[in-house]
Amino acid sequence: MATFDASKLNFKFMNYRHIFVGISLFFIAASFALLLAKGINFGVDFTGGLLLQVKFEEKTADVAAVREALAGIGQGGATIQALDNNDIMLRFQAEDEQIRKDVLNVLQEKIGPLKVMRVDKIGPVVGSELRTDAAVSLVLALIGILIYMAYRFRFRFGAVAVAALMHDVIIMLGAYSLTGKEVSVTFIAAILTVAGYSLNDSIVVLDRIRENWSRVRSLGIEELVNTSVNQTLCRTINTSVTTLLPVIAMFIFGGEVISNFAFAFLVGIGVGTYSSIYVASSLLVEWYKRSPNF
Amino acid sequence: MLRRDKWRLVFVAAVVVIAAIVVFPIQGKVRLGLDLRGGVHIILRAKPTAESPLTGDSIDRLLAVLRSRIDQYGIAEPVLQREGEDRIAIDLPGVEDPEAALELIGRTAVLQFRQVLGESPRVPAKPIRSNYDNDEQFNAAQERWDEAKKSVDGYIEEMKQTAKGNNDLMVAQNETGGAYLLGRKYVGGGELKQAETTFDQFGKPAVSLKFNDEGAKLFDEATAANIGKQIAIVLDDMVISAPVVQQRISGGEAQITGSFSTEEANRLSIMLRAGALPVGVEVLENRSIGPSLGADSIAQGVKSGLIGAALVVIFMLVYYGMLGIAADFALVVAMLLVVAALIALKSTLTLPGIGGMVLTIGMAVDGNILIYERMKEEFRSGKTIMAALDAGFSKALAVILDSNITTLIAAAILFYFGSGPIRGFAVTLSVGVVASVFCNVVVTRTILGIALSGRKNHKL
Repeated sequence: MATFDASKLNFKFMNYRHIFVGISLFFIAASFALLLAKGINFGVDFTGGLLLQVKFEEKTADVAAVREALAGIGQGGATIQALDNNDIMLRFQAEDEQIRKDVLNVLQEKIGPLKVMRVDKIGPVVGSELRTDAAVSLVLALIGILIYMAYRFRFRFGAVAVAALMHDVIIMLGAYSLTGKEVSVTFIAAILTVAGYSLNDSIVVLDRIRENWSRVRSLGIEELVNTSVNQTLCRTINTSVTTLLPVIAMFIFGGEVISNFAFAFLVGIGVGTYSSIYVASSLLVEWYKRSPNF
Repeated sequence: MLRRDKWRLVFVAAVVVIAAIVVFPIQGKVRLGLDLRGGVHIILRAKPTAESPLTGDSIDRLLAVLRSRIDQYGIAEPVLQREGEDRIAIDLPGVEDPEAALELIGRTAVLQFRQVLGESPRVPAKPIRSNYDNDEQFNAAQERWDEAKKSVDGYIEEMKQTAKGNNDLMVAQNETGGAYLLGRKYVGGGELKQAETTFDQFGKPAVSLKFNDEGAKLFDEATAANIGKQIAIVLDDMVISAPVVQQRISGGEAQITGSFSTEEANRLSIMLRAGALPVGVEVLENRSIGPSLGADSIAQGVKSGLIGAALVVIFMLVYYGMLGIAADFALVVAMLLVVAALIALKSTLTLPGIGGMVLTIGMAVDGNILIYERMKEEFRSGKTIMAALDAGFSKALAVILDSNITTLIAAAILFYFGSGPIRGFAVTLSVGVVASVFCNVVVTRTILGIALSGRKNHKL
């Protein structure tokens, strides 16, 4: 049977908390800077517009040739992306029927016979509705989770857990801004799931701190948190690893849509693991040092 | 084996057997979303026009016409649903050609036979560079064409001025850019009895029409009054053709010829049979997936699921040994339960839903890890193996519930606010969470209770 004895672990996590809180603050600031400067590559779901995926029946898809053909009908500004096996994905800002017909005609004429694999046409009305829905559901999910945490834990525990969660969500958004990956409605699903899931590890750590709380006077808050984090370290890491394994499989083998979806989980769960070890616990320590009575 | 373990075993076995009966054979049991089986998803908004305001009745008639068109087109299991005040959601599974489906649904298809009062000159064909020797000649030709186009446009503008303010008159263009000044309407789609695809004397696809008695009479009068003159056949404000009337037609039969393919003629006759849409429509959203892309998505989803599951199974086996076997078994049961629940709830599996299932594979063993780590702690603190088992389960339970409830909160909100594919994800995620907790707490416990009861002092 397993021989690894986690009880011997004794990393002095809290001794380095300032460094890691600094790193976290840096990443949060960098994420905000990216979001402001570079923004997010919103997909047609949110902006309204047209997405076409076509498969050329004879040739391999050549992005330059496609761009040239599209420039001929005044659509040179489209986003063009080559996918596997002769597929090409096109995104247009405008969504009227005529553009789709013109684009398909010109591609057929200039490049060769093709098959339409996928069409996503979102009118501006629907786009703005989806945006509102996404924003409302994010806010509601955070509130719902906060209420639940406040009910199950003391206020402070709930607050630091939600702070760690916001940290994860902000860095996820930053990662999407940095990579320029498309943010579509599935990303909203991913971010809410990460919000729900990344709390798991924080809950495990906080639950242990709560269990050890009676020793806070004798051990001191730093040592208490260190002990608790060490005691739960194995499960924090193992639960994340087992969840990340299928996520990595999806990221590599899942195909365009699923892979993009998996990337969000990859970042979210990765950052979530770190934040449950460091962010929630460090905040708790700092808070206690400033006002021990609660 | 303890008595309570026996009862647990019976319970778990019963659940597994029922789930297996629901799931197998799996072929055709899981409802696939349009993004997996291919098809067209359209959201239409009804637009009121001056003649037909939007009322509950006009939306009902709109639905009826659309349903009739879709049924006649031969699409299996279409779904038409009214959404909110003025929207209609249409799902057409398995459609290969989304363009044709859009054409069939989105066209108002108002057919009119109208008097021709004037016709603009024809717009000549646009010059093509390859027909000219040098740029100079081509540019000259281009200029000539621009001028010709301008004069035609001017002519059309004049006709529009004439038609302005007179409700009996209208200007309608044809496919080549010319236009007609049209007079009163003789007969229309409302007076049709039958419309069918046929072929004209040159073997080109055409649509043959049969008027009802009223229509036949009107058509008879119209042809009698217009011998030697043109009558325009107008569909949705576009002139399809404007043939010269050779003789009076009394039988109430007519033929529309134009430059359409058999497919287009078929669609036109379906639309004429089903009738015009009572109000205009606008396509708000259109998501179409080709069937082969959907099949690829399923294959890739299954592949990543299997690889992910294999990695998790191996990890648990290597790290937790015998405990890992129990967890792996529980994982298999959890996945079986997820599929059984999807089938029993008649829920639709979507592409993000597959993502949710694969994610569940990873999350399902989390509970086991929490329990096992706790058991190890209890065992190290000096408890016997069975006592450690009990303590591990009971102490880890609160944490397992807390952490899964937060995921359920997120899933519930996604379900409430999400559209089709996202709802599919929310359902698989929720079902996955519930099934995993059940398997962590009940299935694993049963297996371990039985397996460990014999070995009192074994190392964990």
